[in-house]
Amino acid sequence: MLTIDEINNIAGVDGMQARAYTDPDIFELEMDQIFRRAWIFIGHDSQVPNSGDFIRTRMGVDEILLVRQPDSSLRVLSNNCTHRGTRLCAVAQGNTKSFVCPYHAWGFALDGVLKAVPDIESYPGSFDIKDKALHLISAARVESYRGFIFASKATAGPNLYDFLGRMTEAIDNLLDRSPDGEIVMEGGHFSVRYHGNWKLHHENANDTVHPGYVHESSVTSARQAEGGVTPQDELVDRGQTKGMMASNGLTAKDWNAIELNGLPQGHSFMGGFYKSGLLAPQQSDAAIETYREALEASHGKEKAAKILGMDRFNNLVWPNLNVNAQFHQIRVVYPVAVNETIIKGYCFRLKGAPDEIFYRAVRFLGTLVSPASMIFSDDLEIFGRVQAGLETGSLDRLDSRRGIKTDQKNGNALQSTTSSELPLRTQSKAWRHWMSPDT
Amino acid sequence: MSLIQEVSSFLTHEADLLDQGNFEAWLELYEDDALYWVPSSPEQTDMKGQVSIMLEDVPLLKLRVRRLSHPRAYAVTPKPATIHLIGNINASEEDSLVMVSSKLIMTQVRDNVATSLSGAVTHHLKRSEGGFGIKLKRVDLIEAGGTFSAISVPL
Ligand code: FES
Ligand SMILES: [Fe+2]
Repeated sequence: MLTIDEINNIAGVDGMQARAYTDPDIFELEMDQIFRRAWIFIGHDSQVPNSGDFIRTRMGVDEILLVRQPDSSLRVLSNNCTHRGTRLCAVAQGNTKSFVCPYHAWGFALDGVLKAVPDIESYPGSFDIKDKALHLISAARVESYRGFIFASKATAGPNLYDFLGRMTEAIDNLLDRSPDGEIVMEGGHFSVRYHGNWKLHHENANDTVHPGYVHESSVTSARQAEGGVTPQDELVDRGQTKGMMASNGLTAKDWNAIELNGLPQGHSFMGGFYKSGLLAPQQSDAAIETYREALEASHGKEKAAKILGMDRFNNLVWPNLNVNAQFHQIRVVYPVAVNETIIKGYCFRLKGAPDEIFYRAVRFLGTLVSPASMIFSDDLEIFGRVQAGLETGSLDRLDSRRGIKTDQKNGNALQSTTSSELPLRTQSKAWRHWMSPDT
Repeated sequence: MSLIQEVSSFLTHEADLLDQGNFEAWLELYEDDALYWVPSSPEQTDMKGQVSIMLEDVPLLKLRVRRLSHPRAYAVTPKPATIHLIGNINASEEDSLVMVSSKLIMTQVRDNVATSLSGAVTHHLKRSEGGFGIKLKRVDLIEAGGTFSAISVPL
């Protein structure tokens, strides 16, 4: 355990100490204090629609099973057998009536209760199959906000709704974009590894200074491409990739104008930056018009315009979820070790919207989060270089003071007036809060 | 020369251009209406409703190649060294199209870190004067569906 003074020093107001990214002991503590207590995003309703459906995933470094119960509630089970710790389930997802360990066939019900132990007669009287310690230890709390499932291993703490705060706006907006008010995770996913600490992902996602530099090679290439960045139906992606690559090349002045908001819970969101071209909110074509009409039929003209007009890009739910409502995507952060992280990207089909709208979300995911992405691969490279730099130990503290004097209060949020590092400060404040021994 | 020999020397040439980092010349092997596809899951047939690791037509490949030569394309700075090793080649000719299947092991070393990718490759080749033009290249990676590090050099 670190003392409160040590925590405050590591997550200083002007920047985090380098050891927060490199010290394995601090990483262990983060798993205990953050990933085993705060609300961790673990999946979407549509991944486990029916009784007995499960996915195998992780909360921090703990492997878990998210299981739909016969009464349609959800349970989060440990994927480790309570006999000798064996990994129970080796498939990524499926449907089952129970979980039976491959080693000595202990059988667990969908709710994690131990039901069967072969040759139970040979156990002493002190062995009680009903003993809670023999059940698959589950997260104490599982809650969903409109289909977004989060779990917390702590029995007490803020409820999910309060934890999310204004981030519910992003989830609401994603749901509202479906004419039927329902979304389905579909189209496959990507899983990409980088050599760097988990915090680097969220710290980068709302950093509005880096795109012009880190993504310069893709900006330049896109600008030089034939046909400009207008939609071209004959292209395999209608020119979407080119448009996305070019968009990172806004002027510093334009980036400064993109609003950043930091929330007291550690979350932050940035305004959209696709100001022109085929991904801009005002863009229209036949598929978009059909979609808009469907949306207007469900919500009315005025509300539909408001829904489609909500121009935000990354909505970062601290510590591990990034919602991009406008493009029907999410990204999830999975810490593996102090210097290793996996990012997974998923997209959604909006029920009631034309197929073409879904295909564009699929394409967007491919362009941005594929391991072969011409954009994301440069971010991953930079994460690796930050990590390598910090591991030399030559820098004591990272600097996150940009914009500190010009951020403005808006209710309980902070709002930028320039390309501020306020998302970094927002995240380090949450880190300080959850890492403190008395939280 | 037998069809297999012809095809084999064409595929070897393609691999050599990639390993030499001569991406412009590599791209010349592709027909104007070619498609380069690395699906995200085995036996994938859906290009639209299912994500792909790469699904690129020639304009997109041009974009990729242009970026690879940019001095500040950080993912390829320093430049990776690669070996594209090809084997198990089979080919058959139907009308004007030659269908080729092969196996690929691509090893990459960059900054002292070695990574490798392996897969089954399908080429659809069109005969043209002096050789072949690629109409389709599909690479089914055995790693598909798993966790990847960044892929920066084409397969
Ligand atoms: S380890 Fe699971 S039953 Fe023995
Ligand atoms: Fe970036």
